[in-house]
Amino acid sequence: MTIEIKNLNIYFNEKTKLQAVNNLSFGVKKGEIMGLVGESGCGKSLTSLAIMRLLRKNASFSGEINFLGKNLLNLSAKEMASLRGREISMIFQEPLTALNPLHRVGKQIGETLKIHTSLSKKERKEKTLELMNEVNLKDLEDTYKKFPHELSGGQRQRIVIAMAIACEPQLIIADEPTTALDVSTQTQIIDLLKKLNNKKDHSLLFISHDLDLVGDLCHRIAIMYAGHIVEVIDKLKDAKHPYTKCLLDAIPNPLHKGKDLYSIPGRVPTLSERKNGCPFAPRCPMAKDKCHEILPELLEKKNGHLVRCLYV
Amino acid sequence: MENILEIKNLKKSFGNSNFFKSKKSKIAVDNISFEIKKGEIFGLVGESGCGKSTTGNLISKLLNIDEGEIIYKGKSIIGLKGKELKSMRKNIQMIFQDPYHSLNPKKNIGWILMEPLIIHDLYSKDERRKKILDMLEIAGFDESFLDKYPHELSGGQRQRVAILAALMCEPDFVIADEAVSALDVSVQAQILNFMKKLQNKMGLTYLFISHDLNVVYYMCDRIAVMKDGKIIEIDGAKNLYHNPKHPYTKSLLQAIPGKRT
Amino acid sequence: MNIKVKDHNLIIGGGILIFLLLITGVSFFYLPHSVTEINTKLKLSPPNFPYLLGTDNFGRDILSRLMKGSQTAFLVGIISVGIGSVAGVFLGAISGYFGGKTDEFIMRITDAMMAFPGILFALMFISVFGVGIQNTMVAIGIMSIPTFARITRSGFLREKELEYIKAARVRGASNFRIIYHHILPNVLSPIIVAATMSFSNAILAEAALSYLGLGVQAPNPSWGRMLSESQMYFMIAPWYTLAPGIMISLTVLALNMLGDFLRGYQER
Repeated sequence: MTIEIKNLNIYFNEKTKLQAVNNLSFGVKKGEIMGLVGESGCGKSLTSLAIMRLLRKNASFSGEINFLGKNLLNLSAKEMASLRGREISMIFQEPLTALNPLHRVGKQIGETLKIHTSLSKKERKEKTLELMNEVNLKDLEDTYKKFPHELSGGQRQRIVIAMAIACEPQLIIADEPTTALDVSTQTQIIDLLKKLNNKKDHSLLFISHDLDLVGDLCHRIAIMYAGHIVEVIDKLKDAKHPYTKCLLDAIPNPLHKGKDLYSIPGRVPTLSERKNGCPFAPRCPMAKDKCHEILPELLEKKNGHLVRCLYV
Repeated sequence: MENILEIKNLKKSFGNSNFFKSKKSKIAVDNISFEIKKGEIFGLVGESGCGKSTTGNLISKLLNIDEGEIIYKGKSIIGLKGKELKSMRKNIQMIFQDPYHSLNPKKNIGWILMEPLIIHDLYSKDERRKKILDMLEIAGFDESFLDKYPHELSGGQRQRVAILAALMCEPDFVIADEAVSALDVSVQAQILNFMKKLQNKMGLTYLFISHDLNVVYYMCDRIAVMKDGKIIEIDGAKNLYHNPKHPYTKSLLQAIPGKRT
Repeated sequence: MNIKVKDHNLIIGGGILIFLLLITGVSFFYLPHSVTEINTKLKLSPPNFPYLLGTDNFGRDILSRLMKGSQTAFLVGIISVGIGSVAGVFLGAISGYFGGKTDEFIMRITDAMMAFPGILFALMFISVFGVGIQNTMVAIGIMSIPTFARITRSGFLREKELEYIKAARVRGASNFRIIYHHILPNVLSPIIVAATMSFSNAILAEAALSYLGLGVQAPNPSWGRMLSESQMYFMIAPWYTLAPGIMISLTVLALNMLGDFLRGYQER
């Protein structure tokens, strides 16, 4: 396992201790693309921020995040800073705000190399051009000199990806990297991530709300709801958890034409509304009395297929 | 079925009268024409920058056209001003993308729903409250929602209020500009079902603008595909999805995750 | 409201202001002594009983004059902020909402107004229209118009593009309705902060003008006037200068602290 999260809990607010992420445990193997899927408020982005130790000051946490033999939650700010960008890197959703609007993009890629390697200026430029080529950018010398606002969304995201792979990290976290992009650009970026993963064998944690996209790209998918992982599967068609199945039914696809979409009654509970028992019980079409009292364990049903449900 | 809306040779460009950069003006909508039949859901799909939102803004007269014709129920709406414009606004309404900014944060739901009735002077004072309560019920809200403020509601609830506000004055034609794009999947399903229910109940015609082909295919009877300000293909939804003719349409369909293997 | 102990701005500033308002309130009903009665035998006496803050060069009770002066200070504050805010918000609203040539025109005028040092403008105004408290209030009010106009305008520019405004337009709302019901309530916060700051500026400006002899005229008391009159006696009767000086400082401090609190609160 490149990274293993054990019993991660994230709380907000010292006094009321609202729990955003509950006892989260999962791992990502070397070379694996793991999808973390869920709707707003499920805690997926918080989890990624916790791994990078970028949570806000009012968030407290417990548990372990084991990476390369160390528990990231115990590291000092300095130790963490030396890991970020080098061993763990992150790709954010909005490339325009992830890049500094006042610096040329080539220089920004070079900055990562400057911080974490001891390459000379000339070597950094060579390496930068090499990276830009790897992410399928064209007219390298020309693009090297451009500012972020002079590039398209897809090009900017490629620059961000180049920065992310610059120091050959063990783990890349991608938080909704294609949400702000057009459909056709999205496909290109996904294909690029697949190609890079194949070539470099790093672990990729891909966070998204788009089930279909994750199904296309990832080797394994973890589905989150209200701070818990409710299912872990290899292929979407194997989904057994009621929430996953409801989500799949809610996404319009050609089979739905002419019928009503399945809409899950109610809405995702806010942090203060969460009660005991299964988090999905209040909205689950299959819920029975026990579901409101007992929180089911995440159990392995078949090879690597984990489900958190009493009745599956 | 007669046409409720006809667009003819519509053109709109945005000039760049910038002192330092004299760029050519960008053509957002480039000579497009299409018709929408009464009672249908007409989809307008394309990637960002293709001009679909601008088209919606031109029809609702949030923007002025450069050239062309927009004919609503047989009459041109291009030059409307004053009372006639206000009367047109009663019939052509719009739902927007961002549920977090489409409601006035300082007003409660009751005020927001009452406003269209006051603007167009519809119903007597007693009837107004009843009408609002009726509409709330269709959305599954009870009377207590009247006193709530937008920040107390979830994204899906806000979008439902925004839809109700658009429908308070009983329009015939509603433009939905990326109305579900900012919503979670399960909420999106709720809103799409809600929109279909309203269409049946109130006999609405929709212009459904979106970048999401799956959603557009699901909702719409006919679909127009836009690219760079032009309409490159119009067809019935099923035909377009299963037998696309234009290469761009084909490439869009192929890019849908899940459709490719 | 979610007030915490560390909101010292609110507690101290608000506390001082309440104290000052109480003094002003009481002054309408009760003053320890006459404000204008001259009593040369008692002139320049230090604080004692019954003249708690001493007497001035005409033997008048300083405390009573101070209390009456507070009425002037707050009146000037209210009227001038009233004039400045109403005119400024109106100009800023139509400037920000309609844009184009209207915006250009109004902004150039406010630019010109801001380029003029405030006190100089007040001097010009008063020399044209005459001295006295009314003209002082109007002059100070006019000085504060550009600030309100700019803040309102920037608020309007920001809100104008948001979707709820487009929605209102599509519903058929008139421009007036959009400006008054939709945008204005959403830009009030920074305007209120500006009003607090303007209030304290107004009090300072009135003090300055009265000090120069242009504002409130003798024998009516005003803090600024008292400062001016007390200047030559500072070495022998320091209490005469300190009293109005401290009042002005306290008022301005309180108002600024409140303004800081409001600014921080609106950002929360």
